[in-house]
Amino acid sequence: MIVVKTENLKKVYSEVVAVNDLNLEIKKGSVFGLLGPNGAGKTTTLKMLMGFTRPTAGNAFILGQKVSNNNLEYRKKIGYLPDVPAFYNWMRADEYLIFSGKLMGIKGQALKDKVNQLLKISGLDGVDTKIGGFSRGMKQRLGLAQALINNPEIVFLDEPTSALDPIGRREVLELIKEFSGNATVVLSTHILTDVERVCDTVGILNKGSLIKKDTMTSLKNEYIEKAIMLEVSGTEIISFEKNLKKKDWLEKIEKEYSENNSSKYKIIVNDLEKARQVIPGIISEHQLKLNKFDLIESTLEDIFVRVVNDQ
Amino acid sequence: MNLQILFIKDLKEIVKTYRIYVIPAVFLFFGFSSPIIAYFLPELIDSMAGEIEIIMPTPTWQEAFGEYFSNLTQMGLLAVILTFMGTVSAEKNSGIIQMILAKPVSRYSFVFSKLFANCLLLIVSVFISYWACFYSTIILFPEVNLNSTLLASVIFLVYALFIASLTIAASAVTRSNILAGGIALGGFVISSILPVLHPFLAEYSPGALQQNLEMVIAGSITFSDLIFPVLITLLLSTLLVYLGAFILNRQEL
Repeated sequence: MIVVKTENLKKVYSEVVAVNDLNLEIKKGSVFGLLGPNGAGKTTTLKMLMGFTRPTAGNAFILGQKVSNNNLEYRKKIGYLPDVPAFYNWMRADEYLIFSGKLMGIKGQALKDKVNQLLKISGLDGVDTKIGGFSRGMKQRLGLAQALINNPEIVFLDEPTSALDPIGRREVLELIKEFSGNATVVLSTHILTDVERVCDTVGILNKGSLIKKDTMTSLKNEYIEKAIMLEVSGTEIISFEKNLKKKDWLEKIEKEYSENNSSKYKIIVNDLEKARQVIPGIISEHQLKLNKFDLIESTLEDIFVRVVNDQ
Repeated sequence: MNLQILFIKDLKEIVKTYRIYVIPAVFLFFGFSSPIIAYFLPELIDSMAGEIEIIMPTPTWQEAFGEYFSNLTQMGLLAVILTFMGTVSAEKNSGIIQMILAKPVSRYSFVFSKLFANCLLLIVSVFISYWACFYSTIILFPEVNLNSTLLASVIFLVYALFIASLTIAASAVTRSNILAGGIALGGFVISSILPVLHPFLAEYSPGALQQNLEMVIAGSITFSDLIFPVLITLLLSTLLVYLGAFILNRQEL
């Protein structure tokens, strides 16, 4: 079931195209990472989905309902955390959550229970200080908690970890992991490791256009670089290289450095298993000494760069 | 109902951010001090005049209330503009508005809850200061007319609500508190000038209310004489806030 859909969504500011013909479909229950560098159009996309910014063209639908700032119905079923969450500094965390819950139509004991549960999950139970005295991490956790007050079907999180220190980031990502089983999560970020940790589907935005959308598994299978970092030494280096280049499983060989009969290569292959079996034999054949043999695993960062470059 | 929830939150905010003390304190100050100034003004001028003999008429309770409303329509309303100018714009600037409007809250409810909460503060402030002025006057002066002064207070309140509405509407359409304050101040000055420009405006524009306050105190104008400018001012106030919310509803956040 598709819970978020955009049709040729476009936003133009003066002459700058922030989002260009975005066609997106997000399935129920997925943790969707909207990935892209700063200025790619992630925040503008989320703002259009929330009805804060009017599209120049196209439409957006959430839970089957057309997005507009006057359509309040679907808002009962969603949660939203902006990139810099702001609060009433004079309130305490529990007061803000109660206020948020009431706006969502939750009352009585159900509201009390939900507030207590969220305070506990977000590590803010027992915190008696006013929000004005909160650290950035505490505000971010409270922001997440208020986005979950109504047990939303979809949660939109705009750069939830970008301004946090490593500990804050880990805490927020753990929180996202915890609730992702119960809701569809749409998360915008430029931090690739965050996407790797929590998302199962990724959409890559660049210069306002969606250049790739796939599951993490398919993306890795398609774009993962199968490579070996090899360091050998000996006198028959040149013939070793020539021999390697004849192999049908070799895609590319990059010499990283070469000095004193010692060379280091990045060997990109299309059949990693075969390369692992054959390379030691070739080294032995040319009477070289093996100094280093590392399998290189592509990160999402490598995949991202390749997708952007392929465009 | 979300308007009610927002209204209660806005009332709490007025208390927690100490705004509850600002407007009542300014108004109370003028309530107590205006009759005292009116009472001692002839003595003050006499002492400053030295050897020059200035004959001043004996001050009256009408002058005490005249001084009071003169202060409120200038300094009092300036305090209203300064206090209310960030009502919506500050929340747009900080981003709180996005947190609230991501929930099932209409932008109209957001603006009108602020209008109702702040107007309640204004209504309470006007009546507290009226009783302070009345109390000061009956101590210093032999007589005072309750009916005409109370009516003048109601007329002033309607004008003050107009200025408050104008300020909140300006705050809804801008992101800058200063700009909102500037628009409200401009509107305040224009509304004061309009009655001078044309007899029709002198009779029916909001400025007619503040221009006729002294006549109301003196009892030469009754409520029925001002019913049209009162209704027009209340209608304009509502329309202004509605327009502010309408523009906010079309703005990008």
